[in-house]
Amino acid sequence: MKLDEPVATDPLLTVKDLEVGFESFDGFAEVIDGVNLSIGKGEVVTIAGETGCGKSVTMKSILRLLNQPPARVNGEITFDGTELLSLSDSEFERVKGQRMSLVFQDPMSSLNPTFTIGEQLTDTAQFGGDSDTGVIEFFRRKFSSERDEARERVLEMLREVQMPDPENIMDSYPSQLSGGMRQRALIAQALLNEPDLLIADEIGTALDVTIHDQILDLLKDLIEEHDLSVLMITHNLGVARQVSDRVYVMYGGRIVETAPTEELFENPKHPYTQGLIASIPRLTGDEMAEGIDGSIPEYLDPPRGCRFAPRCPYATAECEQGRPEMYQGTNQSGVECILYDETVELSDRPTVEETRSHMTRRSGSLMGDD
Amino acid sequence: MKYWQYLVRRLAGILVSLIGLSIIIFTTSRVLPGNPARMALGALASEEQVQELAAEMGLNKPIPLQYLDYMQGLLVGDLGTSLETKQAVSTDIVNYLPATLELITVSMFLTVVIGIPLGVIAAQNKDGLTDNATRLLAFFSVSVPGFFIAIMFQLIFGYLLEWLPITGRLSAEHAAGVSKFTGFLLVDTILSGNLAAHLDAWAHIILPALALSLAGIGQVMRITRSSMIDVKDQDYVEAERGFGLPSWLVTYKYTLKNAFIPTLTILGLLYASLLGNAFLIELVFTWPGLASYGVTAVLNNDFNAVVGVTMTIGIAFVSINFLVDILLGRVDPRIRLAMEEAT
Repeated sequence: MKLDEPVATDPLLTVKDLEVGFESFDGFAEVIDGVNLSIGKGEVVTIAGETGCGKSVTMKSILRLLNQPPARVNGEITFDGTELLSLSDSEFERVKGQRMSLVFQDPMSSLNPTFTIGEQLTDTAQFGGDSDTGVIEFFRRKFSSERDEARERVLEMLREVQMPDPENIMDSYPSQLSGGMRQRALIAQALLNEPDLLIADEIGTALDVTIHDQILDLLKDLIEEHDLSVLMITHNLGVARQVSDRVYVMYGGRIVETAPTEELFENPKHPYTQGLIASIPRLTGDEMAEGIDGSIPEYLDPPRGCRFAPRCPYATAECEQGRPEMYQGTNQSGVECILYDETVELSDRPTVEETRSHMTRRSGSLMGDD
Repeated sequence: MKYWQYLVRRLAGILVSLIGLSIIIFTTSRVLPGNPARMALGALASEEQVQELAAEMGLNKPIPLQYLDYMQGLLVGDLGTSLETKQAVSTDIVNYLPATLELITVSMFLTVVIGIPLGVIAAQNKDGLTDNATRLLAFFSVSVPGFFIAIMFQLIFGYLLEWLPITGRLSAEHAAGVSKFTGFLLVDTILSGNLAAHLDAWAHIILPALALSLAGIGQVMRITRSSMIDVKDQDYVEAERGFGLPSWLVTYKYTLKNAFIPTLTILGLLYASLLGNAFLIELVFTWPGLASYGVTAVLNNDFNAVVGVTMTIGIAFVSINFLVDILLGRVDPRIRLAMEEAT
């Protein structure tokens, strides 16, 4: 049974048949190849996969952050009933500024170094989403009482993200803040305009582990409190497990498996997902897989069939024939691998343990990521 | 250490480098061939007269002693007498410096108000028509010598179109109506309440200033363009766009302030090169400035004037770079903060 319909009930964001390619000197690189995904209202969804497998490109094409050309984006992106790709730039800016927000990957480089935190955040609070504001309008509003209200709102939001000493932080420059504080400032900035959809790219992964944990806990609280729908992007499956309701596993520009978080971790199906899970360090003393052999595909000339086939321990000649279908498991899960065709014996399907032993047997293999 | 403490320290460093400059330039002027006393008196003077004058000028003392005498004078503003104009060098400098400073200041102003916006626009339309047009303009302005442009300007705007005067700082008919306050004619004409003369001063200065500033405009344009393009790709700019801030605000406030940092450094250096280039422009436009005075002094071995002019230029140069340091600390808090945290 083929699963190409979005799987969220009551979806806020739906991406259908997304294709993104890049023109380059060496030819046309077909990076994102038919991605379907959806985020329900109030749902937290993660896209997980190695660096270079197309997670950020997917996110950027949703937010229209790719320069076209060289990028070419095709497909359907629907946000709360509106088809985004057909909107003009200014219409899209309005939807994006008012209803979507994003937290960038690196807290160290995502705050403007030459302005104080207060200046940046207050501008965002006051003018974020109002991209048509003209110069005169800007100065009139900036020097009205509206500015003080916006400042108050920023302070309140800084307290909400548990920023220590927010009054003082308002007058500080980003270089005076620690990584964790910058991350908090960025989250506060992203939430200032009460978005419906928050897109978080590798949130906190640039920080050390304890801070990372605090940030994820904070994020969980904020998601609940603000009733946010969230699209998280991460290469760290542990993060996906900690915060998300549902996970998409991405490889080589395609979604290879999707399932509710618990199901995915209990019963991962795709050999790639199994490999990723087998590579998570464990404290139980079990032998840890060293990672999946090989590296992500070359997009200029990708494998013809399953893009994971060259690295897959179970690959057969059939895998190289053509792209496998997305086989539906339960109602919210699916896997793109021919081993899950109905004709395949249950006992022939791989398990995590098998995959782990395949991986540890090899020497000198590459760590997937992380 | 506070940033102002750092600046004070810089100031001390500047003083040391100025003393170094004075030693080098003083020694050079004294060991160059040619007897200044002979130069002053002319070929017809007798050997005794030359000897007498040389003794009077202290030229037969050892050079270190001469230097100390000179520095002693310097402290009370006495730079010696010019052999050429027979006036105190300090008087000459006060007479000629404002003309040059005025020319350079207007040039810098043109460089900033033309170069930076063009750079921003070029960056916005990267590889577009405007970008290529400004690139062409930049190549042209950097590679064609200023004096050639100056002559072309005179030919086109002065001779063919007869729009603008091509020599001097002010038309003769206005000279009487302007009293001297600062030596800067653009200021003095306003202070004298003479609007017609003020406009006339602008008409005189605009061609030389433009000819002088063209090379700088090209440089500033290119630097601004490339740093704008760099900064535009930074995460924080992408994030600011992502939050739906007006795009003019992102460009002119959030991007330009960061992109301005390398431009500011270039502007400081440019100022120094303007002081040098001003000579040719002053020559072409018969502009009575310090550069032409200085060159005349060098050609005539007028050693007091040479030292005086060099020192003046040196002081102007380090002052501008000091000013750039202050501004950099203001524009880029990281520089200021790094300095304060370093100790």
